[in-house]
Amino acid sequence: MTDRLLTAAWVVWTALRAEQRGMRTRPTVVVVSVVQPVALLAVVAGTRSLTPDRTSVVVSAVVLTAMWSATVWTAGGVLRRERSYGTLARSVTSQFSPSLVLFGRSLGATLYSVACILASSAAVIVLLRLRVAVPHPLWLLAALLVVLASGTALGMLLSCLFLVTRHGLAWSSALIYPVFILGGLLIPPDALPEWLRWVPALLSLHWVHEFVVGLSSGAVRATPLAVAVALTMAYLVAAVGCLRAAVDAGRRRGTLELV
Amino acid sequence: MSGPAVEVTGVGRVFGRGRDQVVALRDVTFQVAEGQILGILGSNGAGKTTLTKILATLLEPSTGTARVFGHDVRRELRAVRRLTGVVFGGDRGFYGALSGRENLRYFAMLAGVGRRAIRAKVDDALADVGLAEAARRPVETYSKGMRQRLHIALGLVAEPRLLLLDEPTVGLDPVEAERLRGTVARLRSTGVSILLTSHYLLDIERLADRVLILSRGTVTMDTTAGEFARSAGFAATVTVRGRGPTPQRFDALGATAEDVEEQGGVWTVRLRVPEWGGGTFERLSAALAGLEVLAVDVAPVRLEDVYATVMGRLSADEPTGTRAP
Ligand SMILES: Nc1ncnc2c1ncn2[C@@H]1O[C@H](COP(=O)(O)OP(=O)(O)OP(=O)(O)O)[C@@H](O)[C@H]1O
Ligand SMILES: [Mg+2]
Repeated sequence: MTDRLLTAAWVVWTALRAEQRGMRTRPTVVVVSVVQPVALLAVVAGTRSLTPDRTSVVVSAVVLTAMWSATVWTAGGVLRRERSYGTLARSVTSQFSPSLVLFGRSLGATLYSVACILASSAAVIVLLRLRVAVPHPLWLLAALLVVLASGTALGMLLSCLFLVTRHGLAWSSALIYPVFILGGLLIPPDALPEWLRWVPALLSLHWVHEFVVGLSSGAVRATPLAVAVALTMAYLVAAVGCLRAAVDAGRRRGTLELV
Repeated sequence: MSGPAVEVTGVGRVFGRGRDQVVALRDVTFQVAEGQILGILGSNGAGKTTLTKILATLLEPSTGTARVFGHDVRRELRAVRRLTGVVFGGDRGFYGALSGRENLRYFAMLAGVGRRAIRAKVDDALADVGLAEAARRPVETYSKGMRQRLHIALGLVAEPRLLLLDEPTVGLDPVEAERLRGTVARLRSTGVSILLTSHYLLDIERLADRVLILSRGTVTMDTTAGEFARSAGFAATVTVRGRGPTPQRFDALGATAEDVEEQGGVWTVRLRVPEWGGGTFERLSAALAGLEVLAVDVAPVRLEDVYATVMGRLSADEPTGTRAP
């Protein structure tokens, strides 16, 4: 039993490292997880003088928005890239569950993106001498962990969707901006028309943001974080089911380009 | 261990629906005994890769059953995968930014090579295919032949008991191709069963114990390598060059002249000798007596000839085939 767990951990670790090594050479990674947060933060921070707790909310919104782009373009592209490299067959028909392998790769991509986004945001904060309030560091850390888990699960789900729809690149571009506008991060949900307010509710990152907004006003409201965790679980379950169905259908119909 | 390594019974595979439907395999039945090499021949689109994919669990058969060491390829995926190594070859199939070793290590892990053994096995496989020195370079800098060798290392690294090789020598230089044939022969001697498709008849000639011919998805020939070589209907080709009037008949040999050429008073005649036995040489001398012979070349039947003859015969039998009048 422990040996199986160790092996599973090793599979995840190896997949994670392989994904991260591949990311070092991809320019999109720099655009979405370095250029984008720096640009957004510079623009927003320069517009008016912010109080420290307002700044935390802005930083949270920027970091989470960048996180969404990074998830779509990096973790969400894992299977699409596997197909273009011709490695899809070996990745999804190995000795291990395809979901375990995908989990490792998605986690690798998400960790890398989060590290880049946080480092570049921190650099902007220092350079522009922004004052940020950090009211409950431990809760903030918990929120960060939820972001990591959420990014990983969302990346897995998007990966599967982009694989089965076959037009992954087009879908990636098409998904980015609606979420920028409707995701409840940059534009508060109550500024949205009534009939569109359900959109942010489906995005775990929006709930994390709500939680951080609560923190910055001094209150620890656990409900938004719990909703984010629940949505993360739902993404994960959907991803595992979707991947299994896609691989089975691919083997049956010969459509998954399993070579 | 009893039972065949591969047992394919009535396997069919259809792609698409309606008017776009393609029947890639139709009622294919054959076996590969443990430790045997089965060579699969067939023209482009005959269904060789489809068959290989089915045995590798990448594709489900539409009908029939296929078993690898008794494990059903439809139901016992993991067991089949644990016992099987696959080489499809080609330029793709790797992470270009990662080194050869990193790629191999990753795929060896996926193939089930254990944590403790992986380093040694990866190094062995790299050395086996002559990539030890290039192992640190990113795969995107590899030449076609180096990629092909990495594919082969990938198929071997988990020490499979059944190896599926789909055109493994494509893109290899003659020295590397020969080295691969050596590796395959060595694997067979350790009891590995091998299914080998190739358009290079030299691969089949050197390695195969049995030969299977696929033609438009059906098995049209399944025989031993020796039987296959005999099925051309002749044992040797004799090429004679001479001057003077061109001879047409070589009755003493029981052969007729084929491919007669004449240029500047010198003729070249190719003969197919049905059998090569004790007295053949004397009969050849007798047949050539009285001719002004410049050169004689005797070559045993080559697999190219056999293949051309067999395929010619098959397309002549084909009821719907288009044939020149
Ligand atoms: N995924 C697929 N979808 C539709 N048709 C397919 C698919 N894969 C193979 N086919 C068709 O099945 C037939 C057999 O293809 P296959 O690749 O098995 O041939 P092959 O014998 O390997 O040919 P080659 O010598 O060119 O490699 C072809 O007509 C091919 O177009
Ligand atoms: Mg083929």
